[in-house]
Amino acid sequence: MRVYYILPILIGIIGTAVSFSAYFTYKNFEDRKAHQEILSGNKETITNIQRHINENLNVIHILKAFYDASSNVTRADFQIFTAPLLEANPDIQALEWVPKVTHAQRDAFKQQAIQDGYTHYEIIEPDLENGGFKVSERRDVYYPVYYLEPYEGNEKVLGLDPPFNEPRTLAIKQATETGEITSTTSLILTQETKQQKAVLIFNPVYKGTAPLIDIEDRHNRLSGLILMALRISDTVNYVLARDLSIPKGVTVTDITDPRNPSLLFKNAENIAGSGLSSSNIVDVAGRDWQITVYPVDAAAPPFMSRRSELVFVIGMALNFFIIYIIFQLIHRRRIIENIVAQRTKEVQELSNAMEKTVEGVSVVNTQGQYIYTNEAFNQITGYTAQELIGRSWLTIIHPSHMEQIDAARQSMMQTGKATEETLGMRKDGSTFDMGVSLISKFDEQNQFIGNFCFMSDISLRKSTENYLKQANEELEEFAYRTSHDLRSPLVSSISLLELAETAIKDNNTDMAVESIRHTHRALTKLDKLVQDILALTKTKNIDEEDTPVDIAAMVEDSLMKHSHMANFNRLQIRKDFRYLAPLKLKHSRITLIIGNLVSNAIKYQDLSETISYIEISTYQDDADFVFCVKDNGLGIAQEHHKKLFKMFQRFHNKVSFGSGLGLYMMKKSADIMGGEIIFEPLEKGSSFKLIIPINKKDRS
Amino acid sequence: MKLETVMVIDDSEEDQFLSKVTIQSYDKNIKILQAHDGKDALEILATLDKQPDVIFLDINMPIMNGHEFLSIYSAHKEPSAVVIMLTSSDQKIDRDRSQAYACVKQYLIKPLKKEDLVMISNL
Repeated sequence: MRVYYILPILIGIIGTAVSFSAYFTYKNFEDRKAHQEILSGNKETITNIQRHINENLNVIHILKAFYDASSNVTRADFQIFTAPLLEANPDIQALEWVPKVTHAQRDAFKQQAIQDGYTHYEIIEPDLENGGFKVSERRDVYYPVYYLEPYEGNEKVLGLDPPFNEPRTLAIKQATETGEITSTTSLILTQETKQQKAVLIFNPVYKGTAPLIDIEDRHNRLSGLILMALRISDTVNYVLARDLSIPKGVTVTDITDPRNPSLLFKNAENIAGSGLSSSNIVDVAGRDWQITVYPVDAAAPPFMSRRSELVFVIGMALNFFIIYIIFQLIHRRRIIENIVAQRTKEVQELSNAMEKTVEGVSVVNTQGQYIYTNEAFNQITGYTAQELIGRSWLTIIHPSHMEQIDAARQSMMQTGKATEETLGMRKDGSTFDMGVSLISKFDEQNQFIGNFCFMSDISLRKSTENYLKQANEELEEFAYRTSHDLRSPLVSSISLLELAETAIKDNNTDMAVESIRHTHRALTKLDKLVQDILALTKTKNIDEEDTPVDIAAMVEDSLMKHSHMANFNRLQIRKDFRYLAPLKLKHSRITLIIGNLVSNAIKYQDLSETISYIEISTYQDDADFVFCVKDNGLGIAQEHHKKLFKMFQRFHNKVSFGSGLGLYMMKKSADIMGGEIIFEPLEKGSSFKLIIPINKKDRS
Repeated sequence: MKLETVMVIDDSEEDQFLSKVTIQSYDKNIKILQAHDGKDALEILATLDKQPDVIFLDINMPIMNGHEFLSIYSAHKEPSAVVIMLTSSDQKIDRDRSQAYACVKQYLIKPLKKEDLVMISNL
């Protein structure tokens, strides 16, 4: 695996760990917070319940105070006094006045009750045999319900004094004897319709203001008891209904006797466990109530909060996003690295190629000065890079071509590119044909910042081109002329022979002889032409070694060969061989040249001259061997000088029977020997010079 | 056209001879002027009071060839003679170049025949 990927993987692992850690930390924090909220909620509920119970107990205290303050409390008084208390504490099932009535007082009490408006008042007790209620049996003391508020819903208990209700009896006894507010154990109210548990809370009221001495005194002076019937569920529900927080479960248990706890109220199972439940023990009129509060639904808010999961998901998402970005960056970086590497390689290759190429490459700045030249450029021009850099790019252009090349640069400025063939000049002043390509350089802002100059020495190509062009022209000329010049004497000969035949038949001997003479002449001309063409073919094809030559001997030989020609004998021959050093030349070439010059001098004598001469000389001119032939012959008219050395050129008629190839062949031969033939018209006659450069080796 | 005087411009003596024999065999009375090249011909023509009726003109000649002759001859004065090309060259370029001149009426390939002279006299 590439080292690139270690970083994102590491970050991925760390990121995941951080996400998990954040998740757990946050979850822990949330849980604890939720826990505390629940517990504080629980406590608040407990406090509320406790406070309300105290409020209810307060009602009893207030009533007692009322009784203590009044000598006689009538039913109306009771009714008026309790109304606002009941209104303020609507969970109180009933507030009652239970007077202590001895048997002796029973009838008077009953009459009093009827007078008070309870028209059918009777002290009653539960009828255990028949069900319902019956008038109480005779007892020493009765504790009947007398004043009863609210009356509605509690009618059943009016006058009730249940003798076998042990909790009631015990509570009355305890309250009387202690003078304390006293609650019963839990019981089911007589007026109850559902089996809801309730308590009766008594508060004794004694007659007189003197201090109570003892239990007996308390019994004797007891005038009655204030009773509050409290259904526990009503009280708890009343508090819970006003609790605006989440639903809660509440359990109330009477634990006054720890061995025998009595469940007073329970509205839901505690499924949250002890960790989330709170409890407190409340003293309710002498009894110990344990109130326990707990959440009803463990899944309910704040447990519903998914914030910790959200933190984890966001953490992971952020993590993946960062990893993705890093991957992207790595990916891009690798792409860019690859591109850079590739480009660098390309540039390197290009740069190498530029340095190694046979073409001259240079870079020129906006001022037209070299700022770079490659090897080939330096080799072609003969300068070094140091010499060229900073110099005008025109340094390598021959002064005669400055204008042309300047125009090319202008054209490049406009079109971005220019190509030109021009004349270059090397450091040593020598010239060469130069091909130049100029290409503009632009920067990113498309601003002209100079140009490339590609350059090559095209001398060879140029000379080859010229040579080919010339050769081609010659070939065309050759084909044209041979087709004509070969055919012409043949056609003539055929006609002449026909003429001769006819003349012989007609016995016209003169005509026949003349025709045959003409035929002979025509065929001789043809023969000469064919010979010259063959010689020319040789001239072009033979690749011959240089051999030592004796010019004087060769001239003698040539004169001998041409001695049979007409008017040879009237020609004065002058010889002046001053070049005496050994000489190496191509034998057949020099023979051809000597032969042609000699024969031309013989052929083109001016017969009107008294003395015709031919002057043959050799000498050395500087580093050149010169072979010169002069005559005072017919010469060559000025207008023909240009065509002198071309193929099939004849400049004389009547006297001429040349093929027109002689001078052409001489020129070719001179070329092959690396020299040249120069014609110089004389005032009378002509002068031909063969000039051949000789190297040191030949001169020595 | 009545043929009284004709000029033959040709550097080849053989062809001059042949043309002369053919012309004379057609009509002995025709006067024949001989020139060996264009320059020679122009010089002769310049000396004549009466221009020839027909000029037979070869193309390949030294000093001044047929084409050069035509360019001077047709430019210098109103050509009074009919020019008949008489050459051994059957090249299209020679044909086209010579027939571009109004005075050139025919392009004949050597040798000259009697029928050619008949045809010319009927021009």
